[in-house]
Amino acid sequence: MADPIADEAIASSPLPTPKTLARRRNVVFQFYRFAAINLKMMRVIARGHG
Amino acid sequence: MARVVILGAGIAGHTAALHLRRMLAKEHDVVVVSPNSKWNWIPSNIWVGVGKMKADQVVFPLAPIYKRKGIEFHQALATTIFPEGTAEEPRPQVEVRSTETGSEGRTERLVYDYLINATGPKLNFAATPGLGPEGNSLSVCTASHATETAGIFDELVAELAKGEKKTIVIGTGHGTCTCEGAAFEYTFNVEHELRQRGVRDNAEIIYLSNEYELGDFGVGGMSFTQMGFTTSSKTWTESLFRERGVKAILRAHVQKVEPGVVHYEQLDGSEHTLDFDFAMLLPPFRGADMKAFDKDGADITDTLFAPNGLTKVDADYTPKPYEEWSAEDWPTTYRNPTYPNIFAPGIAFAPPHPISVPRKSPNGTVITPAPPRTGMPSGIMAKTVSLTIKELIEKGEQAHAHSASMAQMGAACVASAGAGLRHGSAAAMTMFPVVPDWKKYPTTGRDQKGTSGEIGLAGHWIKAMLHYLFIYKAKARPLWFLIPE
Repeated sequence: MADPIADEAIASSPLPTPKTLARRRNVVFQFYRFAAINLKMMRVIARGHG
Repeated sequence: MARVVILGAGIAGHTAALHLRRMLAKEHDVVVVSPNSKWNWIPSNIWVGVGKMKADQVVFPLAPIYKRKGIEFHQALATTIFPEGTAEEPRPQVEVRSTETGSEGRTERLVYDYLINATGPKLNFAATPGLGPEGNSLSVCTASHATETAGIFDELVAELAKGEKKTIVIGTGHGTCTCEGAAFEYTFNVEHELRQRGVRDNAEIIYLSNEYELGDFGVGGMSFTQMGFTTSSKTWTESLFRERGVKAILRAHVQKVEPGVVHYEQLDGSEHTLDFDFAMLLPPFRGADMKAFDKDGADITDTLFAPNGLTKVDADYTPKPYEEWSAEDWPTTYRNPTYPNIFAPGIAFAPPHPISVPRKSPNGTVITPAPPRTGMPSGIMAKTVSLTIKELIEKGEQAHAHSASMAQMGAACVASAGAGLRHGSAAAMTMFPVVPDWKKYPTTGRDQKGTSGEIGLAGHWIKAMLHYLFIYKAKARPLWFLIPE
């Protein structure tokens, strides 16, 4: 049993390409994203503490 | 000399206790009352629930920390507040009942000058018949629940390994639940773990939620700007479900959980059943259900608390339709308007209304996520309250009250989608502010520079880093206060 509305929405959503999935697992690229996401989070934290 | 009593030692209560002890002179008392002897880094419970961590990696005893820091600790449950004192003792006080082995059930009254109610949520499994570990479903809300769930998960994996087909249901166990993010995390950790153990093909995984759409997360969803487009958290989340082959049932209120069967109603009023072999369903939350009495002994519980048991603070509680909700409805100082020496940061404060669009089924069933108050906002609120109390103690009642509205603060949420240093994954999200401000940000309700979402291995590293950082901070190790909330 599933939900036809949700099923349809999921089925028509963007499917990541193998290249995108590889990028999400690539250690070098993800190290760069680790730094970038941390910076982004620090900006949000700094504004919240302001 | 002032005496600050803090009820609760979760993220908000413990943060407030450590900051107050650091900021106040030693002549002032900081007292913590918690029914639990241990602190729990709840965000990592999902890893305990799939066997990737043991309970002792996410909890530690509070008493040694408080002894080292000079904080008075009572392992007890707060039951009654006397904000005006009593006929015998004119100072405000709170009655607590010991939960410590050897003195269980013994009551005492603690006087206070300032009270912080940071009791967080009561896990209201009773709201849905059959819900929870004492009923017919599982939970990861506490470390012990997660440990029990991990054991049953192992048994499930063994059966899947024999080639048996199984249905796994993970989600929210009531139409008014919050913490959809935690259900999302557990769903994808289970999915990841089944793939790692080579049995994914034999399991159907269904995410059952009270959200109207995927990606709502109780905050009405988000919009991200990525690669030249503004996209919604709905599309972004649906994409992950498609990639990982997870099904979803949305707009659902669980009516009851029988052995192996969930009964639920959807927003269109239709009623359904869903058979399962393994179900982890989160409970709705309510307040700690304390009572309050005035100095004459009259019951003033309704003055201090909302009907859901959460504490009334400086929010605008005037009932109004969704179209009239505004950022200004949300509290800024977390101070009770009747008794301004009582504060309630974190989950303990009564929100003015949900953040997601409110909806009811034709049968009158409310199917609307309650607003989440995750670790980061709870910590910021607790620190803000601590700063206010410090100034009140040092400068007197005219002191400036610090503010931290959820409509003016952001949140960083890292939703794990699988653990592992090389194979892990997480959805790293930021939003600013938590409560959309449509006047300030008319296009999407939030600042696009502060609102983002990204899936990948880096998110897992951040989630793991936060686990160690926040446990270090909570243990009040050297320079702990430099780690932001």
